[in-house]
Amino acid sequence: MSKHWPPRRQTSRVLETLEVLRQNQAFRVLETLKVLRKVSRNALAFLTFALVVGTLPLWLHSPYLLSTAIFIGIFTIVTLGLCLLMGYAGQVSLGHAAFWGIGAYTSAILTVKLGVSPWLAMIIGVAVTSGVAYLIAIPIFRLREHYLAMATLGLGIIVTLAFGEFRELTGGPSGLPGVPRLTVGSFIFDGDVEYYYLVWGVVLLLIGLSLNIVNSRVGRALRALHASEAAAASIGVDASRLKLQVLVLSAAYASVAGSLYVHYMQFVSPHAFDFGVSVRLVVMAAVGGLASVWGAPFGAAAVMLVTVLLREALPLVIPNASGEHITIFYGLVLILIMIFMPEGLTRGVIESFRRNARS
Amino acid sequence: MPNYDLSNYLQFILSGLSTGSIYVLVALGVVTIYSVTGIVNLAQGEYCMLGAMLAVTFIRWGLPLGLAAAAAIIGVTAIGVLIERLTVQPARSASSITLIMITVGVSIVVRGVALLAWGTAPFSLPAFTKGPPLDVLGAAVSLQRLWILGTAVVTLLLLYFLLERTLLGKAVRACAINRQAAGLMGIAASQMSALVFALSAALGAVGGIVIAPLMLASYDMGLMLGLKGFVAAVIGGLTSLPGAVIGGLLLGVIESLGAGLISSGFKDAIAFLVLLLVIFARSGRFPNRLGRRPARAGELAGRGARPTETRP
Amino acid sequence: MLAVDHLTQIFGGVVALDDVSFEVAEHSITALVGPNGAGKTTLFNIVAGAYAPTAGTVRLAGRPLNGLPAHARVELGIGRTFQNALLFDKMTLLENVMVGRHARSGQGMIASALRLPAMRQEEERIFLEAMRCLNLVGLGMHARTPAGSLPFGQQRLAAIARALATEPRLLLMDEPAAGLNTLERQGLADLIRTIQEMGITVLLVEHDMRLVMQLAGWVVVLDHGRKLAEGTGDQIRKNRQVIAAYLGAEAGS
Repeated sequence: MSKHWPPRRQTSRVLETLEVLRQNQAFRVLETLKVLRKVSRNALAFLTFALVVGTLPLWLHSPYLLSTAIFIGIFTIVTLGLCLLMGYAGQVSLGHAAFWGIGAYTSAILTVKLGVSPWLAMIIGVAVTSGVAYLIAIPIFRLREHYLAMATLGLGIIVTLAFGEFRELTGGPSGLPGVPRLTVGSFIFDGDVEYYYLVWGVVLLLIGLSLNIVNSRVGRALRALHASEAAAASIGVDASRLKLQVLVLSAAYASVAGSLYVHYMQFVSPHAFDFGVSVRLVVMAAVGGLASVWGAPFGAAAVMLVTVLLREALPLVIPNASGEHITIFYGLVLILIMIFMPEGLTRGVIESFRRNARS
Repeated sequence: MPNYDLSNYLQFILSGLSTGSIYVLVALGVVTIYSVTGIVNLAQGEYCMLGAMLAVTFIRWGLPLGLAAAAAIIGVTAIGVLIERLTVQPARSASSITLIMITVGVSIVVRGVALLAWGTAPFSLPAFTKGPPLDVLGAAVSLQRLWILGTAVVTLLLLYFLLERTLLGKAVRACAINRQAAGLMGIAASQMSALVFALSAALGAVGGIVIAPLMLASYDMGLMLGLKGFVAAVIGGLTSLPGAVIGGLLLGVIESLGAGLISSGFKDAIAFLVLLLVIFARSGRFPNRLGRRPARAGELAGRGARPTETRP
Repeated sequence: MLAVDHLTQIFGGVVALDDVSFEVAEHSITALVGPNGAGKTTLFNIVAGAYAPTAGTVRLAGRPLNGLPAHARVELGIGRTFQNALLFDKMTLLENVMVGRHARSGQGMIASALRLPAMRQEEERIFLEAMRCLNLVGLGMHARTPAGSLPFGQQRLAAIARALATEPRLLLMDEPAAGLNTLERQGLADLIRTIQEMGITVLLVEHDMRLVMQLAGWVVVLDHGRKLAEGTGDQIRKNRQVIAAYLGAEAGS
């Protein structure tokens, strides 16, 4: 800015500018206070969340629910990336389970077949998944958004098929058992409680990182892109590159979730990553709120808990009820959310509360 | 690679052409909907499934084949319009990705309802004419495959006639070229929307009915058919009907040859590998164009534009 | 600063621009005028990089721009405003202008995720410079207001602030005065002169001929995609062809 600033020419202009800068100082002090308030609001939310999550196992006595909570955590990690991708970059991924699966299988294969350390395998998994996302993204983002939807759809199906077909490598349709636990030194993440803290620790870390991204130069550029791609380009935002970065990021998150998943289940099979799972991930993101970091854990939790509830309650109401009913339910949920609250359920509900409060 | 001779290759190609014809029918539906409304309808395959299943049901109720097929086509067309009214109309000004997700939701719901109505067991539809396969230069071509090819040709002719010779068809084409201008000429966008959904549903139903004797009808037959027909449409360029025809036939043949020559386990993957290849190839031809493209189908209606974006 | 050479643009069957050539001198305020449909916005879009011309070249300070995408042109120093502001409605004014600093800053995703010190310092700089731009157009006190809730005239100014934040060498302004009242137009004229004093070359499309005559050192007239005439304000005012084109299309001014 120094080249053109302050503007040259008359002295009066210089004085004007100095006056403006002086007023600016006062404004800056006020603003810093406001920013501090905002930062502390975010920090407060984070601490509260961490507290709730941290104390959950203490009063959650059912091992089944604890296990569910672990799955919610794993799903949250994937949904987090998906929310960023769908909400900020405005792209649909109809095959996100593929990234999850690639991370999972990489971890499984490396640890089972090659005896690689689980943490290293996780890192390699992230690298592989990010690489795949990068390769797809390069040509895609110059095209309209539905091309990514198609490409991820295709990728998802190819990857699921590959998992089933390359039997020597992946164990084929019956899967790959014997995946070891994660360890730190001599401590083994064996029990559900330890694993819960591990998974949710990662969740908190990633939420923190995601919030940092959203409140930064990159995050602003993403929000600008979401609002008006033409205007964003006119002020220098490279849309394709940003979208690519977000896709790679969301793939990396999914990969981490995949690794955590296999080390928990100690088993991996292709069925856990098919098209239906990808759709369920989209529903989780939609329920949680597409452009919302905090929405991800809520979306994942809501969908999982409702699934659990339906599985228990539905057979009482409709005899012979099965998983298909639940799937139909989610299809309807997706349609309704997209029609009436395309920004996501949580956002839509908050907005309507705000509107009612005002009137 | 096993040792094949000419008759084997011919076999692959002919069976590829007939499967490809189904992809053509699905692709035509996808292209029609996309050109006129800008919506990428990922639920297209479900119309095939519904056509097949309804035909099976009507036959079980005692209707003769011809009547059952006709009734099924009419029924699926009605369902198509219903879907359009219930799910697309309320969201017609939404963004592209919202609409894609709605169609995904629709496909899930339709599949689920079909599962509830018909269960998981596959049904078989009797072949249209009984008889042994024909011998064409050493390749065995089942009569049903000839039916498929024939039906596809007849359907194409009917479609051509509809679009080129009737006023309604011309209205559809006008909408596809320039929706805003068509609106100014008195062509109602929402009516056109319902019409193309009806048309696509009918096309899908025909495809489903005619392949059912070969494929076995079940509640999830629509997913793969729909996705592959969709790939065929993308090969042809998403906005071109002749492209859809070429794309469908090409995809069918490639898939058939690939499955025969390389591996049958990966048969389904072939279509999607082709999809990825086509998308990558196509991206090379698109320079970085943002917000302003020559008025393309569906775009002037604001489909695909972000809601806050206005055109100067 | 800007050289447009034999620029032609054909959309389908419509010839929007027909062999248009002219130059914009550095540090000048040049106006692009013409009846509606003359191709002015099309020309802007091509210079800004929204799409490639059917034929012809655009050069910025001698450097050909062909094939460069819009965001790359911003880095080279082309800024633009739109007829209808196109602010990011749900973001605050300050955030809008901060996005304008995007091309002049570089901290990426990883640095942002970890909030490295370099990133925090850059955020501070971005904040300061965005505030400066807002103050320049007189909107400093509205920094925290959501952009969508401001009246139209102020949205326009905010868009200008945002474009200024990109540190342009050449600023393309598309009908900045449209919809403004007399008082606002005067403020706008002052602002544009200030921008010129900052060393920025201004190319503006405008229908308000009084404003054009006030500000512009050079005027280029387009009609039906062709360059009709160019010259100083006085020369254009007296040019017969220009008068005929305008009286044929619209009265007044």
